[in-house]
Amino acid sequence: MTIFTKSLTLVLEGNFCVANITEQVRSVVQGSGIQAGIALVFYPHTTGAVTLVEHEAGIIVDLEDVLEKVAPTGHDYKHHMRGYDTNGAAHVRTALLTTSVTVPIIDSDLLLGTYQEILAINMDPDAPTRTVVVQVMGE
Amino acid sequence: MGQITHVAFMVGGVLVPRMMDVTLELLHSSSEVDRHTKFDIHFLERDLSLGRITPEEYCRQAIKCTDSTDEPSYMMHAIPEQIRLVPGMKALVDELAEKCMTCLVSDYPRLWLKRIWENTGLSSLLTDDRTLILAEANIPDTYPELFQIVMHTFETRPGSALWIDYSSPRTSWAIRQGIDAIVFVDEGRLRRELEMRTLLTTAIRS
Repeated sequence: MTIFTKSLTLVLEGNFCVANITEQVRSVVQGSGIQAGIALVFYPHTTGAVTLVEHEAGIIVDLEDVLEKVAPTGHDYKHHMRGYDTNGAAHVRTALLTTSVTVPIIDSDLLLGTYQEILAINMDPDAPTRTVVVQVMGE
Repeated sequence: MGQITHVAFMVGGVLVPRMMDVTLELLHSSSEVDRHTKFDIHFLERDLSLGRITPEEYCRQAIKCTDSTDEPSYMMHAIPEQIRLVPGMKALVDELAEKCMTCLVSDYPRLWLKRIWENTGLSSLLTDDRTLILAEANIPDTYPELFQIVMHTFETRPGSALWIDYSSPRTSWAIRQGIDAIVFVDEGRLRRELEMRTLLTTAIRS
């Protein structure tokens, strides 16, 4: 089995900025030389997520609205009392979402559903550059 | 949503590549660009778009933060010459113009936009009165103020307008202002979304 790992650097405005990274991940898979296996897409931060969803503007607003109800930005988070920063909402939202997705690879391509796209979401108000790790495993 | 009569495109990231991507490609021939450089260019792009710096200053600073040996004068000339339309977008804008008014919001400064239009052939489709250049709009940031200016400039209202942009925060803002919006991924996806809104005369693809 071969393991191929690559990091992607994303520039994402904060708060709730979404990037469609499907093509970048596909490019890593194709560059890995692996024909069959899996691709792990991992978001190594605590104030963002990666998810598989249709990249449609209304869905993004709906997702943000739901998260605002569950973890409002204006809430008095205990995290803020520690005095480090004021991104409690982003931390809680990250815990509720996913920081990695796994996609099967067949014929050196991602086996995604018709409307499935890999999205990275930056929810941190003050961190515009983020890294996403793509690890391709297989033969 | 009512009948869409006006479709506004963000220029960079939809019709042509973003300024930041063109700059990095031009100044950084190696494929890997570190996050600090990307970060710096991102903010330079924003400052130029909003008219906070001139194109000359943008070139000088971009060269500095990428450690390039290029001259600013070369870059001033090379950026607009390097830019090509995103494949399929000219035909799509052409088709769309049959059903509604197509308008542009340009994050590129006038000097470069003019050259891009000449080089890409889009000048035949789009005129000055249908173009809003962000750097000349005197706004502090690209949203939410942008949408009020867009509605005013193109004499439309939220329920009649469609906003097409690569930026998810801006499309989200547009939707929250009552403007229909499409986040641009590629021409095929955009075509599908426009067909769903019956804004194209072509048949819906299977």
